[in-house]
Amino acid sequence: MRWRLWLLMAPALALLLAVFAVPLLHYLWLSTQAQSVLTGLLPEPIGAQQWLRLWNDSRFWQDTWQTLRFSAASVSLEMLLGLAIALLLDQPLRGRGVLRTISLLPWALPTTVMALGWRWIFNDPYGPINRLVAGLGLPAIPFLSNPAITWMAAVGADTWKTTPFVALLLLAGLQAIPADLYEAAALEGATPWQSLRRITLPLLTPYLLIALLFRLAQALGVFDLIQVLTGGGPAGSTESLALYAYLNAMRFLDFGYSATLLLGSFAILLVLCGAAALLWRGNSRLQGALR
Amino acid sequence: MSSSTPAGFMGLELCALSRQVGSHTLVDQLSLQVAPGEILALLGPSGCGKSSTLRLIAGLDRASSGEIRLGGRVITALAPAERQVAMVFQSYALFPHLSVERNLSLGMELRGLAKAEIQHQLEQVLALMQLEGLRQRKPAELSGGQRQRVALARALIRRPALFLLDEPMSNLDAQLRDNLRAELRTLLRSTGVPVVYVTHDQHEAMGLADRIAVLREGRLQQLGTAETLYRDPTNRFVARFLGSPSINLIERGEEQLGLRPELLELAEAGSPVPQGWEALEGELSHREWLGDRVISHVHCPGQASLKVLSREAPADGALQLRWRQAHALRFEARSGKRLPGSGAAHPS
Repeated sequence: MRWRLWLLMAPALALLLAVFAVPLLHYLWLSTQAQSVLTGLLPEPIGAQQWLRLWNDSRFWQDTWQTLRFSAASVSLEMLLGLAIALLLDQPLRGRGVLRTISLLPWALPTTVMALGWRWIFNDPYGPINRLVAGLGLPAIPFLSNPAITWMAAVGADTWKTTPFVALLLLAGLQAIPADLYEAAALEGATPWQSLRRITLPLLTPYLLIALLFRLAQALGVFDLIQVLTGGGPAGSTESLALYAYLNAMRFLDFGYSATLLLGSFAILLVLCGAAALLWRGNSRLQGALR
Repeated sequence: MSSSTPAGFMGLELCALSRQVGSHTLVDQLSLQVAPGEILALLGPSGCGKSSTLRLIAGLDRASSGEIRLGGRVITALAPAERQVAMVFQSYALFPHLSVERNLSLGMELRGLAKAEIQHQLEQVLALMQLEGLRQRKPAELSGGQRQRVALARALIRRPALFLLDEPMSNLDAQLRDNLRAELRTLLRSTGVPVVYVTHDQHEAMGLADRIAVLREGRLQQLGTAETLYRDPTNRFVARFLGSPSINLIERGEEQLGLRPELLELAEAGSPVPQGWEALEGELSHREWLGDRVISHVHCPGQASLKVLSREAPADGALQLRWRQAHALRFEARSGKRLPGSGAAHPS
């Protein structure tokens, strides 16, 4: 019986090994090598030196902080807005189908395309926002040239793009809640606010956690949006870990250190997503109750 | 019907209640009364408007026209919570994330009752419904029968002025349903408030309710005790809906004769027909043995298969089917309307 189970799982396992385990192990090996222009792009074993370098690399820690800040801000905003939009789209409105489709459009756009769009919107002084600001007689906002503002601009663009994804996931969760639960609560005298707090949110928790898990994993690995919108600037103030690893590999041709950086950010992602997954598992009893 | 209500009637009254959705009439000019302590069953096939009526009474849907009164007060426009009604949903609508205890107490918490009062009422209802051992369970960890008890308990703890039940038995297996009927009836009667019970199951309606309202396409067909509906139906629809096995309809030109299976007798083929009786010659097609009775399916030329309920099984082959003329209910074949003067001598 046992071996047959393994046999049936073999194709999926083989795929997982090929696309996850093998690259990961290769990177682990690579992080113990010096492979850069200095070594003629040939691997030379150097033990834990790359890891020491990472530990002492202030740019790594700065990028870690920036990535976490970006992720925390954009994921919380997306969860809040996504929930609000999902609640709205769950109402029996006229033209709800059209609204749902429209609300999904930002998500359907390729990130590079939308990032170029936002770069123009944020342009100083010719972008539409600054045209408006200038029209009001106010000084232009340096969206992409002031470190204190630029990371927020990136958060804004990411929120614009990814909120629909969260909204869609949460909408599916809302629609899985039977209508008669609300009716039973209404008969008991529940106000809409009480219904939301006592019924909707507890029953939506598994979906909120799934959305959180997905979004966290994506946001911590953010690359394309930052690359196109700011290129990591100004002064590296929006550089993410993924972008730094990319620069090391593709610009500085330092493959050994790039692999170490990727593994470092992978560890951070693993810890955070692991925490979210633990939350989700604690909630799985509730999940079972829903079925 | 409503005009004859005495002033100050303390039960539930529906007066020409209607609900239209688009061009579709779900409930059509429905008028009836339910006295305090009385159980009224709304009976009909699916789509007859019985659940729609219940939702109107509960306030979950808005009436297009007509009036609902409860305890002499017009409640047509009130919000569900203000009507002080308790409802047991077909799905039970228990909150899946809350324990039995919290399912029962949530309403009281929402209404802002004191903790001690909530605890007191909770203990009372848990004891009454024998749910003490299940208080910490989640609905998913309960059997169908237990869930129903929790749903009933949640309705009872509401101390309602009106009790509504929407097919509360339909998710239980047949045996449990039979056992619960008497228990549920006692429980509902003990509340002393009007009870409206929606079902599509005639046995449930007859076994539970004091009176039955038969609905069809949103219109009231007949309202009365189970016995009245069975013996003296106003039309073919009611006659066919009640009784098992169902009533035989014998084609006779513009008319149909309605004869209950127990009022048909079997005799030897070609026997002389006594005075005041009528007969058809036919052939036995098959028998259903029920234990104490037998249902004989008889084929007569020009008729649908006719059912005869008797104590003894007839022999195979040709036989005569006969009945007292006075027992036959006469219906207009096309409209199904009951023709006056028929079925007067129905035995009691």
